[in-house]
Amino acid sequence: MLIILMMVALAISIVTFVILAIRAARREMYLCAALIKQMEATQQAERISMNKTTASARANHDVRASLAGISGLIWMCRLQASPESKLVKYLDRMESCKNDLLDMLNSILDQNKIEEGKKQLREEEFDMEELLEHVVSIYYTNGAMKNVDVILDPCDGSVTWFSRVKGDRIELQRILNNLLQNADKFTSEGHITLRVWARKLGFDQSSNPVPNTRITSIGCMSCLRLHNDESSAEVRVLNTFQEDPNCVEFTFEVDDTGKGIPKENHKSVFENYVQVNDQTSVHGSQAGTGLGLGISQSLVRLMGGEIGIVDKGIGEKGTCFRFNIFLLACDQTQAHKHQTIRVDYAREDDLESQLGGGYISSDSYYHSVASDNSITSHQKRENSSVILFLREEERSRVLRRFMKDMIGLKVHVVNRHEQFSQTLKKVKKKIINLASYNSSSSETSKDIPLSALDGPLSAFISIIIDTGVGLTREMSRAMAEFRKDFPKNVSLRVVWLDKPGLDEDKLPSTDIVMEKPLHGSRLYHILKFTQEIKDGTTSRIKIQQSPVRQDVSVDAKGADSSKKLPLTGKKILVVEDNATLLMVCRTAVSKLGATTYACKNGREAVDKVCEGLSNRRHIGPSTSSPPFDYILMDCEMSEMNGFEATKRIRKEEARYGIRIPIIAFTAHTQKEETDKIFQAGMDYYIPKESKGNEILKAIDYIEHRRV
Amino acid sequence: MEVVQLQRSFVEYMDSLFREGFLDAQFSQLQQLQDDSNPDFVVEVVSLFFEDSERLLNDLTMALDQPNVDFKQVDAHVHQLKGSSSSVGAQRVKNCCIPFRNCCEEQNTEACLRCLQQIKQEYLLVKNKLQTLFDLEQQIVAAGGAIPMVQ
Repeated sequence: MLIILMMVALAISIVTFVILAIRAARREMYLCAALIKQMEATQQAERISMNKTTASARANHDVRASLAGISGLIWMCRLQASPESKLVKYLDRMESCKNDLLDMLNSILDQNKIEEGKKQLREEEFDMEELLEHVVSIYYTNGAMKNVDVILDPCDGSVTWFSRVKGDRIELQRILNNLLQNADKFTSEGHITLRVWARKLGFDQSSNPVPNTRITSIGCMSCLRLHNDESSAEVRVLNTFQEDPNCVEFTFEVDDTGKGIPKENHKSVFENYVQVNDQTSVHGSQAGTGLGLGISQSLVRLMGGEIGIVDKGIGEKGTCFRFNIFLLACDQTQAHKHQTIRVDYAREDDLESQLGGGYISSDSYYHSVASDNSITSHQKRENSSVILFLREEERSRVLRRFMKDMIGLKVHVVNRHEQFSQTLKKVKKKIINLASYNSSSSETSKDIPLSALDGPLSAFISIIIDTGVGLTREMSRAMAEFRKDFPKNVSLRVVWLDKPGLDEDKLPSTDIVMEKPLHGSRLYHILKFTQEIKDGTTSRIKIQQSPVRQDVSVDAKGADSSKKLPLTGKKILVVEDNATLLMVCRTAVSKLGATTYACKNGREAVDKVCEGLSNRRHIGPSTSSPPFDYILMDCEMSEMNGFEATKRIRKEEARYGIRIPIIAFTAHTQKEETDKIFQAGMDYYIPKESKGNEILKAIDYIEHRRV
Repeated sequence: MEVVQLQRSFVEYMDSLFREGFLDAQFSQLQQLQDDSNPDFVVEVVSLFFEDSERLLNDLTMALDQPNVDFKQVDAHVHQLKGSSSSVGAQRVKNCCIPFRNCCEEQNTEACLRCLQQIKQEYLLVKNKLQTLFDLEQQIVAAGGAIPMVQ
């Protein structure tokens, strides 16, 4: 009886087990089939997308050809239209519409190129700091109009050390333009900050920026394994690039206080053609193609990095994009005066806590470069103060952090007018105490005025005032009071930002007037004063924008302002029959400081030289100076070419015992041509379109050969 | 508002000209020669280039129209065109001159005519582009802005 029961129970359990197993197997098969179908669908979708890309690239090309046709036709219409007529205005508008179409096409074409993997990055040397300053300045003027401050935050100053790099400047500028443009579009108040910092990779550090998102194989999915290999190959290639000892990782953050992007859209904004709904955007008319972030992401990845949106703190509004790229550092010795700023790494232990986000690591590399912090200069910095009175709060915060934590200066930030005079009084009291303490004379009698106290410079005071805050009479009085009886062994430098209402001639000569924004090269210029001793009189230095180009030109009235140009006082004859080339060459030579003379062909040149030689003879036998110091001669001219002319000039010169160096302009550099050049009696040759540099090099070569 | 948009358009336009090969490094060098003592240098040189080129293109058309083509003369003209276009950095025009000279050597009228056609097209394009660029510059200055330096 029991046995039968047991057998039945056994049978039931076996059957249940089998049923469950079958069900599981069926489920698995079903899942496998679904997966395979899904994979096929994805592959097909990818194929379709690639086909679409190729087809649209071809279509783009054809459209561009047609646009070029329209362009030519518009030009020809212009020729026929009378200049002041309405027709010309219509043609102008047609032209600008065509240009818009072209720009849109270009962005689509570019994205296609990147997707197809055909985009190649350029490798050229450029200056990172200059690029950053340039880009931020453009958006600064934009933002200034809607009261949005655009700030370039130097962070830990690490970009200065790796400023000269090799990479694709144009594409990097494109990425920055895209992010800043987006920030600008969606921010109507507050600020936009661009933060940059650099890090040299050590051999033991292996960054893995490419997220390996492919899933590992499941059972028989061998095709997946293939994908996995590809992506790991990618990572391996990147890692070998990063192992190059000159590889530097740059991290950028574009932080704004605008509308913000909801968390669920953080990934999708990088997908092409997706635009965050901008019904309330500031520039309502600015409809983009929605490709910008997609292109930026592709470019960032091409440069070995990754881009993403960083979560901001609770209560902080806006968006923060962060991306990193890898570039090769170049020889930094050519970089500019900024590098005299020695970042004070003695305060490093405070940095981690104060900066947050942990952006630098105390690489031993930095220590070795920034190590000559002698005790005295350290002390000077301890005693030095900067008083900052700016309109923009965030900018004050950023500058204060940089100057205090990175340079080691004491910074007093003034936020309201009332604080100004108080702060000035406080600082003056302190330095008076310091000055009297540090003076060389051991007994300071009360009869000696403080301003006469002598001794080594013991402190620097910089006052940076934004005239945009509105200069009040109290402020002027406080400044006058501050300057009165200022101790001699403390250096004072006042910087005025922007000019309105300022009577520059009444300012003391050590004051500086500077244009906003205060960042990059201008900031470093000011900071230099806190690090170097300036003795003697320094003339007032104006940092201004010339009306035509945005150059930072230093126009110092005083000593060593005139840089001697390399060819000052030289007389150079240019012989060239092509009017355009002649003009360019003459300008290039004049810019180097020489006086230029021109001839249109060989015959004129021979005549001019003969004339010059015979004139010299009349002046006196003692003058052996030739009529020209150098001759730049084109080889192929009508009416007597360069070779013939040179031969004749040499014959004439022989009569006076003179030889004027002749440099040939040639379009050919094959041996038979260069042989002809030297046989005719010329001394050197340069390409036809040469401008300043090549001409100088040629002259240099000749001079050295003489010696 | 206008000024900044104009400045941005200017920078992007200039970038695109370099990227698409219409202009090369020689143009940048031209810009570097311009300064306060010589503020209209680039416009002047480019205008000279336009004058020269149009004259040369006319001469070329006429020379190739003759029953007996004087290829030496044609070659001389192309040589001039190559020189001036390379001097201002009009890369695509310059590049068209090289095959043109080969055709002259081979004394092939048909091929020369084709080359001439192509050069005319490229010249029109670059002239157009440069004029647009200068227009933008003028608009920026008229609106009171400064012309951004593009490298």
